[in-house]
Amino acid sequence: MLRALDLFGAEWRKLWGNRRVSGCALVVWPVMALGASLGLLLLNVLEARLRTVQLLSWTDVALSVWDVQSNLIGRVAVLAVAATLFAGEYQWRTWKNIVPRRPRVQLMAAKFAVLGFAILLTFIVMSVVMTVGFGVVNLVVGAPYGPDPTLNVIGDFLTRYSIRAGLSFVDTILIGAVVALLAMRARSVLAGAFFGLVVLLIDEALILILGTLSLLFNNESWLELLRLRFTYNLSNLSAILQGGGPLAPVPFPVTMNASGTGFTPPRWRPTRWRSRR
Amino acid sequence: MSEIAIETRNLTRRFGRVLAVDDLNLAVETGQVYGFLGPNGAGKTTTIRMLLNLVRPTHGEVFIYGEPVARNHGVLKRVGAQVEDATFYAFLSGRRNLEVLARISGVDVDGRIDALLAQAGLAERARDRVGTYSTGMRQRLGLAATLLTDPDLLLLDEPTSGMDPAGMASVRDFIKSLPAQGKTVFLSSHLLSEVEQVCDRVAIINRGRVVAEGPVSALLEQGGLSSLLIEAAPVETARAALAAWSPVDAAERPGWLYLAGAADDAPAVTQRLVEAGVAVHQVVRQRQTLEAFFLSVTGEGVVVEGAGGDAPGA
Ligand SMILES: Nc1ncnc2c1ncn2[C@@H]1O[C@H](COP(=O)(O)OP(=O)(O)O)[C@@H](O)[C@H]1O
Ligand SMILES: [Mg+2]
Repeated sequence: MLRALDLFGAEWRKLWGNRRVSGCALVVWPVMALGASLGLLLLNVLEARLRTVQLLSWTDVALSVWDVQSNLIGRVAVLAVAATLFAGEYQWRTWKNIVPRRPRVQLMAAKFAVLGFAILLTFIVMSVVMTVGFGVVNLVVGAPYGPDPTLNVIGDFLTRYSIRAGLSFVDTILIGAVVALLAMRARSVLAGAFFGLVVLLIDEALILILGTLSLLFNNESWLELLRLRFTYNLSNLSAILQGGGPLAPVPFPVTMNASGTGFTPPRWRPTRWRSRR
Repeated sequence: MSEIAIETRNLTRRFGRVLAVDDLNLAVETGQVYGFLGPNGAGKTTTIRMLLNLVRPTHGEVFIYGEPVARNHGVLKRVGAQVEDATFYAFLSGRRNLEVLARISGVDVDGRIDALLAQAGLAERARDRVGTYSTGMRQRLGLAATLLTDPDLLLLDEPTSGMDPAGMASVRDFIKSLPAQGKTVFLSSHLLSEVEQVCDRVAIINRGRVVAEGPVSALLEQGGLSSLLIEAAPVETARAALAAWSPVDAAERPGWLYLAGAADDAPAVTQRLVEAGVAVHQVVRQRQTLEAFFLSVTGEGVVVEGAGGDAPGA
């Protein structure tokens, strides 16, 4: 067990020691949260008409981070980290140094664990920064920042937060598995990330492709194939775990919107901070 | 009888049409520095990769301390290895690289790391990124990395490549000191002088096949090729007197005679010359260099028993 922690520690140090990757793909998120808070503060101080923050609740702010993580941009961070973890050893020709020191299965497991926990930590820190940052903004402008943290509220929040964080972890590991396969085939970090992106884009574009097909053939059953998207399956799981029913595989009415971009409509946009529930 | 550290049985590896290693049977006893000598592309690195279970053999098996490595990864805990040039995480410091490798090995070595860095002459640069190191420094860090776990067996693949002469000499001295600490060394090299200086036994490999194997000293004498060089006057009288040894003119020494395989006959040769009234100026015992031997077993033309016929174009 201690030896497993040792291995995790080694991979963890390697990832964070790689400043270019950890900086661009991980550290940047809490920094962006800080920037968003400062920007919002500035806007609110300068321009009273933009005082929309008072409609925010700290629970929504904290949870919104997981929407960021699971959208395309958030997943690109996962791609970058995963490609580095899995193709880096080929590119730097360092596999030969570590494979004799540990069974391959353990090395791979450690990389997946580091990937999952690094993403988790990054976005937890981001949510703390953002919750506190937006809180400060609300304090400065004298707006309420509910709900009151009663035991019930906190309990409910923590449950939802853990579910979202847990799903992000699963999402990360799944994407990591795809990238690991691609990156280890390509033996290059950039190629691994690139092919990973292609897979993600195809996953997103399936809505467009299948939507078009269903319109062309006037047959909605094409859309049933969207159930194969792993993004759909994760959102579905998320909805079920959070007490909602199963989701339809298409996030919008087809007839109106099949020519849409294929992206799930963003729920998170700093200038439109209104609780949608 | 001492224990066998490395044993290969019919070890073979094919890459497409290239037979990189062909039916290799080695037995390396503990406490030796065992040389693995061959020109570039002979199959040295591929062999070491198979010893470490980095590459799967096409045929055959590797045993380290009697354990089959393919089925018992654990035995590699007793091994420290450096395959080809030393590679590291360029963005981490030398020290951090060793720490990471120690953790991956699952050994607690914090005390040793500073000692190893000092031994490698890297104490002052230990906190700099490896990306800023010279090739020689990286090679020395690589050697330090092989020693992290205090292994019983070291596999070193051309560890002096990229080093300056002083660095090479210190690495060789260091390798020579290892058997006294109870360690066994498997040293691959394409440098004959290196193997000659450092190794107790040597296997010579060419195109994936072992063409000769044995104690370095015995290989040097093998085939009765050790010879005598004689400077005597008049040379024609000397030639006649030494007819029993079939003398020939020495290649690069006009006026000298060359007696192949006569190294042990120096007293008898001198006596014959004196009896024939020849003035003997010099009798030089010419030991065959490993270099010459190497050429004779790997090069075209010269055939050494049990080696020459099937090596080229196999
Ligand atoms: N991964 C590989 N793929 C294809 N051929 C290889 C591979 N590794 C080695 N070889 C070939 O095997 C032969 C032996 O190579 P190698 O073991 O590196 O020799 P050495 O270390 O003695 O210089 C060479 O012909 C080389 O081109
Ligand atoms: Mg080599």
